Amino acid sequence: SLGNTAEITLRAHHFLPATSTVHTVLVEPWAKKVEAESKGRIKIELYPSMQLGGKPPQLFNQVRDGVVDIVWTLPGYTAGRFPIIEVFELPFVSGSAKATTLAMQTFAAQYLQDEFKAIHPILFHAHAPGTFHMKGQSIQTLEDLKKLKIRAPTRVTNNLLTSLGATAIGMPVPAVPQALSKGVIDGALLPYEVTRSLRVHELTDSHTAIAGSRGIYTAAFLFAMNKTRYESLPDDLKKIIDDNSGSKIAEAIGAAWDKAEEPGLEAARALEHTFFEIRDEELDRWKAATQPVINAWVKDMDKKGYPGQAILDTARQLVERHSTPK
Amino acid sequence: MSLITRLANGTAVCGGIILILLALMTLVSILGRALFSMPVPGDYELMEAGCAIAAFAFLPYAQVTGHHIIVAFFSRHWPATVCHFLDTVAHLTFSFIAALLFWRAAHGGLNFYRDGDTSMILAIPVWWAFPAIVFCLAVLILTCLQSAYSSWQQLKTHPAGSP
Amino acid sequence: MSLLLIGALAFPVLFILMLLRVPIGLAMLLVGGLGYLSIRGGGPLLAHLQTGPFYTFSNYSLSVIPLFLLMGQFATQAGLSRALFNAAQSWLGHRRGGLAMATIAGCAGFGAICGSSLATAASMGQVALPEMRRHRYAGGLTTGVLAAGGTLGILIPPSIILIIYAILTEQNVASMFVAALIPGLLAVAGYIVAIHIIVTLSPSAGPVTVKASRSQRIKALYETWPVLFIFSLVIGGIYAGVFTPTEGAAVGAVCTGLLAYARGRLNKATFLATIQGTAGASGMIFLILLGADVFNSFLALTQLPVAAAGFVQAMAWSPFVVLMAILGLYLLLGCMMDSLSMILLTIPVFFPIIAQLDFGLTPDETLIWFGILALIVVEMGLITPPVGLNVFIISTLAKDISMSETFKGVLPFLLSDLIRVGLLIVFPSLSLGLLR
Ligand code: NA
Ligand code: NA
Repeated sequence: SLGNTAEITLRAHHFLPATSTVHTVLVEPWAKKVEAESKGRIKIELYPSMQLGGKPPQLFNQVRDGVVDIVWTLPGYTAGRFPIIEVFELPFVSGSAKATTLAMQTFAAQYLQDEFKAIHPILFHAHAPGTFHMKGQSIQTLEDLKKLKIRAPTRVTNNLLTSLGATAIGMPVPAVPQALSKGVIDGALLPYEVTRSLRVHELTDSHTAIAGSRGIYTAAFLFAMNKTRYESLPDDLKKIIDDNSGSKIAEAIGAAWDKAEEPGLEAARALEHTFFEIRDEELDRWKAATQPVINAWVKDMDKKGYPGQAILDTARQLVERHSTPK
Repeated sequence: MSLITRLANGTAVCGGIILILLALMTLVSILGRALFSMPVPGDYELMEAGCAIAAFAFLPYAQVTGHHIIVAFFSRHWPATVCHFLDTVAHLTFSFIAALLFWRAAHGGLNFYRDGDTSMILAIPVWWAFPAIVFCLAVLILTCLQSAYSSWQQLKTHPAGSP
Repeated sequence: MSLLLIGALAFPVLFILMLLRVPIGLAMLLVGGLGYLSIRGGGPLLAHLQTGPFYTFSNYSLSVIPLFLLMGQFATQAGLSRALFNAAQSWLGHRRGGLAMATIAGCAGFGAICGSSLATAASMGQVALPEMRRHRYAGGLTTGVLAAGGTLGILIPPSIILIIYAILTEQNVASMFVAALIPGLLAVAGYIVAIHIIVTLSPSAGPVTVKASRSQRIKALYETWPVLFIFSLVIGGIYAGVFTPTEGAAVGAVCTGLLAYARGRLNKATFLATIQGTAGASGMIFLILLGADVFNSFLALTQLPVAAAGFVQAMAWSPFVVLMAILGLYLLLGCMMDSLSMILLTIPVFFPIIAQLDFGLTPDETLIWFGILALIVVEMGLITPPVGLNVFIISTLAKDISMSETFKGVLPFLLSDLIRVGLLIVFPSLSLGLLR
């Protein structure tokens, strides 16, 4: 068969299980498409769940150093190392997964070249805005957040929750269901994309989203290839990778992540939970409360010698542009 | 006790004290979380980094005290010289592996220093853990060489073929 | 050479190195590293080793291991093994074989606050061995009951092997602990029945001792309250989700440490012994974890686990035949290897096979149930000849009893283990019932 005559074998590694959105929506279909378009000259072996060893924060170095050829990871896992892309994780910067993902492609050309020069990026993308999933306590105003223990995934969200008056609890995602059921945390800030597989919808009863097209938080994702490996490909195979990279696939992948929200939302609706939205004047108060997080990021960037405010403005404009339906 | 054995003892005790401090920190964090909604910030990442250092600190001690599991059943009836010879080779192999780990960890630490990786919540530079780790691995090389030397000595003192 | 062949060859090479007296963890590191080198070349391996060992060790789920070991060491220093044995002796000592039964009960109690078999065997051995010798218990029964009782350290939660299994198969540690509870109690019952049969057949093997008075019994039982308290706090807290297993182990270590201190048992020497005991066992375990990380990365590269799962699926054997074959293989491997290395080496290969077998259980239930079965069978390896680590530990304590006598002494307990495995295969709800 064609599989045996492959001239190039690429090994793709990531930390989520084979049933996850990223594996079923991005990594696996992408690999199949590239294999098919190369007419079997490229073979891509998939290794979900960190099967090739190491811990998630190592993935970036693994692809940089050629331990593996392709990874999917979160730049935020190697905290402090990729400060520029963090801009999309700041409060009220990101939009729908599609808008943020599209914005990231233009943004990458302008600002991320240097930050990620050690690897060959295939796609920068993001998930849909996170929602507060709460048990027993609903969030309708800023005051409701006081003293609530909420799980935070990254340092930016940690600062964000603290700025809103909540107590941020850092714990790995798999620990969330049990922590929720036993009251160790009152809620979690997560996209619906992961709530169903974690059964968070069965453990919570109210959900608070942010009205409008801006999200309170997202996580930036990176799908990337080893640079030397990419450059060593013959031009026609390079072109196949290019045809399945960046803005060529951003819209579809972004839309797929927005769509991945639906099952989780449906599951919560089916259980007749209550749903709240933060809007109008209340939203303005939230924005004012989280402004210090943004200011601190800008200041930090200035200190590192980057034009913090300009980067922030660009990111916002790009998300805005892609949020407006054409 | 040789200087090397004392070194291995010393790193083990430091690792043990780190472990006890981590246990106390965890208790404080649980109480803070339950009573005041105030856990120790970054308690999980402190535990991870601290335990990693402690684990590296325990490796030389386990070597020097012969804690590593060996399947000695089949070699039981072999001549003592053969066993001592095999042990010398095994300890020398371990010395080589330890040297490899030492060399790579030194590079790993330098990389973390250069790349500026920090921990997620507390923003502590990751490279801070590495001087201790590299030191423990250096002690591990010494303990493996010491074991190899002592097996070699036993080999020489046993007349060939005697059990 | 095909990748699959390289993967399949790795196992015999590993065994040959082990026979040549290379420590197991080092052998895995060596074979895994050379295999990795042969497939991917030197660059990726050297790059992986820069931060790979650091990340292997700085894993929150693994932090639980040295903490549980520390807890067991403090518990030994606090004299809890003595209190447990005394209580069990005062209630069971007047029966024929009563001291042996008390040893089993004591081991079970100690296992409830200690996650390791070796520590349980060593700790209870120091207390129970002199007593049974004093009352002229038969040599094989004395050492056999201690070696077998030691396995309760792992069979009764907390259990380091179960934690490793849970990490490898992405299962919840608390659920694993709950699933191990009834099988653990069945083990205690089975061992006591075994002792009863031994002393019925050969009454001189386990003479009776003086019957304790009611007040002595109550007092002795009262002395064991710290064990009950710490077990409820730690295992209860983990199961109730008040804290993670790592936090539970930390709480347990602090509690047992405070207890040892309050009882005046901690001085410079015993404190040092506590740390050294923890360091030796942790160092041994972490070297195996490091070796297994490299070995399993290499194994994944050969695609052997995927191929093996595909092969078993294509053969369409009955799930129970596959299960029996795997458990049988564990018994064979257990003659040679320690339980941790066995689990780390085999689960990456067996996990995809087991996950797709249909036993009429949900996928999670299948993995939990299999984990408990595997736990029992790999723990039997600690008392099967020729390499039985529990037997070795007890032999260093009882120098006057020959090792072959001890291996004969554990036979009835091995039989009881096999019966328990059969029961659990026929009635999975014995293990899963509490989870449903
Ligand atoms: Na136990
Ligand atoms: Na054995």
